Amino acid sequence: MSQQVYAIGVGLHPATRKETRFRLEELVFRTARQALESAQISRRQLDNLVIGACDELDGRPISSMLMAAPAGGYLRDEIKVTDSGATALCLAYARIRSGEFQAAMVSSWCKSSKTDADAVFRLRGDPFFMRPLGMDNVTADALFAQAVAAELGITDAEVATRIERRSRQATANPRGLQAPVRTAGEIAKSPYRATPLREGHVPELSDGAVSIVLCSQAFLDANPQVKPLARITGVGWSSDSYRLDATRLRSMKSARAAWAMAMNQAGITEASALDVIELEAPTGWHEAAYVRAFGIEDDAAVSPSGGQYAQNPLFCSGMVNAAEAILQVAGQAGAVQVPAARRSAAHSCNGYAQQGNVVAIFEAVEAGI
Amino acid sequence: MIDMPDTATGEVVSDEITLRYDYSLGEVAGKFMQGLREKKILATRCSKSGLTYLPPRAYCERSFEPCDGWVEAGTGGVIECSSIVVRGYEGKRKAPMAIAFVRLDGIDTAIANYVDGVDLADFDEAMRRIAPGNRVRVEFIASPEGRITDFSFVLES
Repeated sequence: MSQQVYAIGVGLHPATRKETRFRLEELVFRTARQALESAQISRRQLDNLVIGACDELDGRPISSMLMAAPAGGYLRDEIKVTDSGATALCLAYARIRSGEFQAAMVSSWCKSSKTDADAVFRLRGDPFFMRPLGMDNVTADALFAQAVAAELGITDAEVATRIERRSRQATANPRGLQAPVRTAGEIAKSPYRATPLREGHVPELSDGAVSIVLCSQAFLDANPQVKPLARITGVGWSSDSYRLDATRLRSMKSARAAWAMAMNQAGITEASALDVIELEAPTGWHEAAYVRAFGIEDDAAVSPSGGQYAQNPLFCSGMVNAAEAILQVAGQAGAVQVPAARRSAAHSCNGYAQQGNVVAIFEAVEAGI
Repeated sequence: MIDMPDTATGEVVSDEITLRYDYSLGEVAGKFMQGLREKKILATRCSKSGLTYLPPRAYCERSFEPCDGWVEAGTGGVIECSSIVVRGYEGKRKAPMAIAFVRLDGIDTAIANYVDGVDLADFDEAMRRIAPGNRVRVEFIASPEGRITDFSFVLES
């Protein structure tokens, strides 16, 4: 039987709309150091680093060549994934479960303000059939919104209500942007970006960085001073077809597959067993679709952090969700703490119209669930 | 948190990088683009799964075998999903413009393109006209040049 995996340290850069005080290297170093201090271990005790970062958004090719060291990877085994920060977390988890590694730093960052993020998304369209038409994330998300509205019965009014709720929760999050609340009325009257997607349906982008330290049971046994924040009990990820036809958009296959995989590993069958579910929702339509696809009935469990209305550093928003989910079961979520949270889930999505999805499930360590 | 003196100035250095890429069309997209020059829309077919692909794919997602045949798509089809893009669009057309993924007759997957001839003055009404399930037909430009923008969709009725 492979070994248990624990989250022992979290570092989160304060949410910022445009972080010009620190260059990327400084931002990541500060966050990684914060995670190590949270874990109460030294960098030398790490045996590997997993990075989740996007070169196009970083503005330099193979950015890990510069960023590995400030993320804690100097002369350590280092690997990088470019799907999402949450994917990096899952890879680090799998590496420890393999028995080959004992202590990992997972680092992800994104200065969304650095360049024209929409232009980066347009680059992701293939150059023959999609890019010449101007296909981008906004259009893809609009197509997704139309598809799930029909398939799952989601209305413009529901989306506006959900966003107002999340936006209010976000104002309480000490790690959030503290943006003004978006009211449902304002959202419903906001202009279309691409029908049926309105300006008010999309959270603002922010700059951010997050580091999480994971370790094995053996590492914990050898370092009794380390107090784990959470145990990871399940992870799942899946990627659907690149196509954007109705079947792909309506089915949400990759989201359902990632969710089922993580839930199965965690030995949970119902969403009601989770006290907290931090969803990555690039638009309000996504949240409404995910609660249906995952069978989430208790709205109090949905994104108590405020989700992307607290902070939305594009590429690492899902890993920020993981940090929030870990803090919840550790009882360290501050003003957005859900009382007696014992189990939490973090969700992330990536690609056009949520082509890829990632889910991780955490449990309180002392609960003995 | 790291306690360091705050010496940050907030200054940024701006840089612009211009790169030009030459994308090889390859066998499949190349034949498709040649078909467009002849005002034909060509799809690939996998004899093992029986699936036909538009845009054409070199391989079958289901069987993971090479697509081993070509079929000519019908000139009519059904809208699968659609949107009127209002803001921030940098395609060949100026916003607002209508776009749709359409499953052409005889084909198993959908291909994207602009929808022309729709009055976009009222977005809600326009969305009803290009709603999923409505039929469109392919209309080519006068002198196709082997690009996806050689054709667009127009409503059948």
